[in-house]
Amino acid sequence: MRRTKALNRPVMLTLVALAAMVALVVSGAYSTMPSDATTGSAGFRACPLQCEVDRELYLKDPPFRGHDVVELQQRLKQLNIYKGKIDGIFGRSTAQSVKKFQAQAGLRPDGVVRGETWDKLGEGIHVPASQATVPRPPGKIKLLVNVDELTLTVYSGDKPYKTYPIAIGQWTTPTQLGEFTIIDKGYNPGGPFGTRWLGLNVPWGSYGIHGTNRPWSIGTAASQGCIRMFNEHVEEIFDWVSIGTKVIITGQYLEEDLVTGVERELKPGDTGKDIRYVQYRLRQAGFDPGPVDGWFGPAMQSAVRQLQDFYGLPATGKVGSNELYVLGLR
Amino acid sequence: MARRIDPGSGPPGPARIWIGSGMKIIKIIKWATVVILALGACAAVGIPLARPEVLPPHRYHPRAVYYRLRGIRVHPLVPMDPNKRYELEVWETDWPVQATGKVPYREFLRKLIAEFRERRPNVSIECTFLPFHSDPGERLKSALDAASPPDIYIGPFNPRIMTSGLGVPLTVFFADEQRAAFEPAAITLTTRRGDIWAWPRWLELWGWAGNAKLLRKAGIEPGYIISNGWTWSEFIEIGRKLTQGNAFTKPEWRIYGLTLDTTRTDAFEHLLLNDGAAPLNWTRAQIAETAAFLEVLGNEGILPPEPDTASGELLELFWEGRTAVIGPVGPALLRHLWERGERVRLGQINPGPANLATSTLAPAQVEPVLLPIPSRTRELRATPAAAVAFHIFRRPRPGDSASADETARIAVELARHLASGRGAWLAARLKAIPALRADQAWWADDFQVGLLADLFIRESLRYARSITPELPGDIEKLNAVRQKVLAPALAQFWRGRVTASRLAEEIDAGTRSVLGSPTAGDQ
Repeated sequence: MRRTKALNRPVMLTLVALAAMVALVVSGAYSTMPSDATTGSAGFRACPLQCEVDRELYLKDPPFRGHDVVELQQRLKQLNIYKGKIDGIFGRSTAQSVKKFQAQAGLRPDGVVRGETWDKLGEGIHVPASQATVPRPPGKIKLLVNVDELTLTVYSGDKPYKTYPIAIGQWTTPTQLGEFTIIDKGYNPGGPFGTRWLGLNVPWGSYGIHGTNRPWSIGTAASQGCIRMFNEHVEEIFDWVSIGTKVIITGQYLEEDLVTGVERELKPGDTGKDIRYVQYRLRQAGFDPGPVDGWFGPAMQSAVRQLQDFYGLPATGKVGSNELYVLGLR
Repeated sequence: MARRIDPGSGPPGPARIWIGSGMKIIKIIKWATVVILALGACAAVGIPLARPEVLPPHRYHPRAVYYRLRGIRVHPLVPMDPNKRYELEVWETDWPVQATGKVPYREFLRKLIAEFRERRPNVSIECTFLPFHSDPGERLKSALDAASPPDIYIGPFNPRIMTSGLGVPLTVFFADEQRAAFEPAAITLTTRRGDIWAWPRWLELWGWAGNAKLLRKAGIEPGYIISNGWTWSEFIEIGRKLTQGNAFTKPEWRIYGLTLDTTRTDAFEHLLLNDGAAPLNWTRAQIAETAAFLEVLGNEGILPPEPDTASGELLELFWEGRTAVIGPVGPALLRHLWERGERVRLGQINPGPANLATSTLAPAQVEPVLLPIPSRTRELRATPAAAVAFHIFRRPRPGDSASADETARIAVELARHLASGRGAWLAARLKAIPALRADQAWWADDFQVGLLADLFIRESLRYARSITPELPGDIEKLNAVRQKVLAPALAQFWRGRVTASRLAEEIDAGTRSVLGSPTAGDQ
């Protein structure tokens, strides 16, 4: 009898552990994406620091510095809790303001800014009416992001369907201009990415359109290059767009942002910001390189050959010094 | 017995005099009437023949009858019915340029068409833009083969219009004073077998481009070359002067006399033209002479040692002051040279790194100037040229041939409208030369043609020779010879793998093989 009892305890503990694991999986504590024939990747693709900053903030020496601290200070100032300078430095007064806010919000006042604190900070932000009953736009959809007006417009064919406010990259980490497509979709990435993620095919980095836990930043240049929307808005367009939907990011300072040196011979298959700039210049010169997306694809090769044919240059299909000269890039 | 009076005998009496005089007068009047009627008839036919504008257009207008008797269906006197609706189809090339104010060319053309429609509201015009890079000539050929061409095709002059059976010769639309309004070369380039086959729009010229500063340092005045031309032997001498310091200079600082684009056959064909050889009508001797000239340039170091590689750096070598002359240069490359040259002149661009061969301190200075292509002798001087023109077709309309004539007549009027005045804006953008002399004045202002460029254009037009084959059947032949014979043979020549004489043999044999017949002659 005693041996049986001794044996039963480990077995029971093992069974309990297994049951707990099954329960966790079934309850969806891990973010799993529902099956969606429109998604092209296995799930949410983590956006590295290049796109958004996601770290815990607390008082330390040396102090945290960065735009996320700026955003924190801005919000605390809006709530009339923080009275100091918005300097992007997580100092003593910022930490005290955080504790004060946490106490008011019913959180543990430990001065550490993590997910739940950001979420509470975002409460009460007025979201422009999202008209939840707006039906899916008919026809072919594309998105136009205007970094000057800080708007994202959904187009149905060639007609604007609905416009949303956005936040874009700061001037030190600007949102990439050009013509891209959506290459993946994600549910509930969480944290600074909010409730939805739409990844773009920017060749030199990981950029996308996503929700946010800092809704007060909408309407400002706040991110590391991504496009932020209110969660309600990105959830709305999430179901409308699919992999391959065109996203055009444009703005008045188009040329200044695109200007970059071209120091190598460009050939089909290459990617890079220099390719994007050459695509832009090709289009200005009257040759259509396809989307200005930084990829030397078939459309760009065709445009290069047309340019070479027009100017009577050797028909190589590549961009070398002759082509850079006639495009005014040398 | 009564005596019979013989009126003819005896002296005339007063009555007979009267009767005789009256009959003479009647005869005179009759003859005068006949003469006057005859003169009137001649005038009725002759005056409208000589001055058609004295009568309105009508199918029985004497001139119209005359045209019909000659088999000309489309002429200036085809009457148009203001109550009838006409539809025109226009094919235009989608030129890669922007209008002033950043309006695309398409919009600009549509505005011109809208102006025309204000005068002719019963005419609707559909415009199709053919992609620049596709071969518009091939698309026209397909359309002609299917007997469904557009009413107007705008593009490089295409001799296929002659034999299509649907092309409209425009000779009758060019009265003497109208002909004089055009640049003579424009008429010549669109004329085949005595008829003008297209309404000239603009002219494209090819030449070489030089760095005037380098040439002057070598004691050569570009204006003299432009006015007088230069021969192959003179060019070799000039090339020697330009490259005399190269033996003691690092390779990366050497200056070359000439850099050519060797990846296309144009450079070689243009030199053949300057040896008196029209497209496809070259002789083995002409090929050998041309190749020998290039061989000498290579052996003397006037050309870069690896011409193929240098082709890929043509503009870099020019703008860095490392080659005195480049070619071939057509309108588009001319536009680049002119625009960039202006920016260098205004100090907006650093023209390039210092070239120790030319100056120890100053950066390379480049002053682009257009130059004629050297010819074997001065008498053989030729400027490769082509015309872009409006080709008019009479589209078949079964059961309504009158409408077909009328529509073609309106197409000519539209072509005239698009070719002149503001329509020449495009020629200015493309740095081509408007065919109408009246447009060249404001075009020159817009182009801001400098003295030497103006001189080049005037002189070059005098020596313009067509690079378009004479006959329709020659187009395919020339393309075949270029692809299968010239390009591969020249590739070997530029790499130094064949001599000039061997090149001539290969091209001659290859051309016969492709054409299936002898060339112009062996010498």
